Amino acid sequence: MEAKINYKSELFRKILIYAFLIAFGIFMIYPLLWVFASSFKTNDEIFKSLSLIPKHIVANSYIEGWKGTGQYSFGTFIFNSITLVIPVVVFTAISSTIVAYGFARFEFPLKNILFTLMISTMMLPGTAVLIPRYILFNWLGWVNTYKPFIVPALFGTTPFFIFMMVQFLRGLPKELEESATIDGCNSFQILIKILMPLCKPAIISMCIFQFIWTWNDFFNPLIYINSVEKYTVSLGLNMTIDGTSVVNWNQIMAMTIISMIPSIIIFFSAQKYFVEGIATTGLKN
Amino acid sequence: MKMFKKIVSTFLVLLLILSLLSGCSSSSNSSKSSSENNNTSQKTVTLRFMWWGGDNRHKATLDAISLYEKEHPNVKINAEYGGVTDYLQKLITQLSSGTAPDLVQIDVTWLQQLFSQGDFFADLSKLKDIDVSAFDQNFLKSYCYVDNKLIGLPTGINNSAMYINKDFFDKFGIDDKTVWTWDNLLQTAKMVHEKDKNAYLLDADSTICDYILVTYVGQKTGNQWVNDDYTLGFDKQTLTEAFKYLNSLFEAGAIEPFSQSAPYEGKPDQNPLWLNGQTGMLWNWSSIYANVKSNIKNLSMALPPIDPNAKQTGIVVRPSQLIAINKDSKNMDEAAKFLNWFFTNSEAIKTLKDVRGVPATENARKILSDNNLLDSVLTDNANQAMEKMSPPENGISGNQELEKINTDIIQELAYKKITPEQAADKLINTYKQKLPEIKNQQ
Repeated sequence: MEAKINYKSELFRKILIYAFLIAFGIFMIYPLLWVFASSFKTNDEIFKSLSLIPKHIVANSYIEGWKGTGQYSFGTFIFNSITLVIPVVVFTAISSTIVAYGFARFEFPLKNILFTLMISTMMLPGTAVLIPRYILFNWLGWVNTYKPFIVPALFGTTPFFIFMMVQFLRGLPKELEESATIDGCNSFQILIKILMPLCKPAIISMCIFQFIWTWNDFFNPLIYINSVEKYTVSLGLNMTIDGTSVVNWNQIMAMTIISMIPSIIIFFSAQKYFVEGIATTGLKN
Repeated sequence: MKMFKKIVSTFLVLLLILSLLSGCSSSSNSSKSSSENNNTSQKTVTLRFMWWGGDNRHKATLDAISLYEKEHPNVKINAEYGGVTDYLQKLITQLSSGTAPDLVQIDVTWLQQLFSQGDFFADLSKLKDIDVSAFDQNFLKSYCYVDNKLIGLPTGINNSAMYINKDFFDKFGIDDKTVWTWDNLLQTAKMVHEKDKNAYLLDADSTICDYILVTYVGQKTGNQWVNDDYTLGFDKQTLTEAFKYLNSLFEAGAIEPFSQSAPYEGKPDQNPLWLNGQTGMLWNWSSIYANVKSNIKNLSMALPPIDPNAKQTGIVVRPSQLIAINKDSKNMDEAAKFLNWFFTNSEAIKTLKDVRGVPATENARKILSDNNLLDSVLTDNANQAMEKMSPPENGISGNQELEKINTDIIQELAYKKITPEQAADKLINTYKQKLPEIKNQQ
């Protein structure tokens, strides 16, 4: 009798939890579904109703949106974004790992001060360095190129990733490296052959983060890129939004969906490592 | 220590390789800029022209540019266009570091802010290639001159207007040709809300209530909202009266309660009540006509309410945008020639139509209306507004901080936290603190 009651209350608890999770899940995903549904709605309907099912289906929003204003198609912007994002992600991964390795495994003068300095740049709001950075890059002649994004990535300028990697490396047992040294590895070989494979989850989550951040970044490309032919996806999406004109929202929504696809693919294909990477950084054994 | 050295050297080697790689990828850019240099020596000129806008404006402007390039094969114009988001920020960054395009589209409301950063624009009245006689000189004097320099040329006319949903007006038996005064506005609003509890005559957020307040006061006093010497352009009695009028609009159900319209604060044109035809009138700028028209098919326009005894109408007619020439432009003459063509050539006018508002030159308006390229509702409204236009608002009256004070107090009034008398007191007291502060900043 008692067991039966327990079973019942357990079931009831589960139902409650699932109901809550489902409701919350729908709540979270609704904006995304709305964007998708809106790409098939007329302008009229987008703002008038919250329903997900369009009354009159607009079929050509993807084709028209892809064409853009006629001068450059959306394909150009996607290609531009890829040529910008891939080097940034690769270089960030390499430079951050190397810098983190230095901080985690070596003793050198002023190490603590340098580490503190590096971490403190994380607290610096981006807007504070915007103008000096712009002036510097302009002086170097890099404005209207992708260099203001790619070159800093070579120098480990994202302290968040360095911090994350340092935490991850600290969690790995030193004994592995000691035995590798005995086997004749130098410190660089240790990084490549021993630590890198172990760091895979952390490196992959770093790549995903950097990919999504750079892909979605609007303000920096806006400031540094002038020519429309070099616009990235986020600039391309914003290109026709203006309060004084007719905005074809369905086309913008359609292109938003297209521009989300790479991020979604990357996230889901690396999700396993991503979660592992986040969960294990900072754990010490 | 040995290990450390090795690490350093490996890192440096890596960096070298990587920077070589990135050098390769950017080589196309450098070759491009060198070819541009070559072109200049062959008298081929490249101009950069930056504007913001929507699809139609982009397409029309690109068409106009290719038309100009065909007529002038030695000129190449690089179009740098985008949305309005953060456009001003980008422009300021470019201007202050000397990378701004030769021609830029700016908004008149930005002039004060831009000039507080420095003097960036050429005096167009000094350029021999630009014929300013096509424009209404008073209009230029009122809006386009800063420190006696002609900063930019107006692309079009933008006036304060009332958008009217004709279906709504027909439903309640209101004539859309009504000439509005404060009294008949209130009476009609009462009638509408009595007939249908879910209908409101005015679609208004706190900013539009601020238009009502400032215009009401201005018509009574005939002064600027704040005088040039930073004193108030009104007395307490007039202000109290204006707040009382505003309060009567709230109480008569002329305006949807703020508690319901709060999500659409700042974007009343997207309020579902307006889109679904449950509100009938929207007080806004005529520059958003195309946008409003795309949502409200049966659209009519009128002028904002004017008191029969008004000392001034309070109807603002200003340029929709200006196009300015960068003072540091290397090809000032060519930029000036293009700008002149942009505003006066009949083919250009026909290509650009009203994508930047009803054109500011009479000639352009004539060409467009002869070719049936102008929307008559919009043009009629612009003509009416120009007949009744009041002197331009001074800089301090349009100050954003003051507007914020107004809208905050209006919110309190709308939520019945304060009475109209208290609202007037509060506004005057806050202004007495704020105005000296603003004056000291200048």
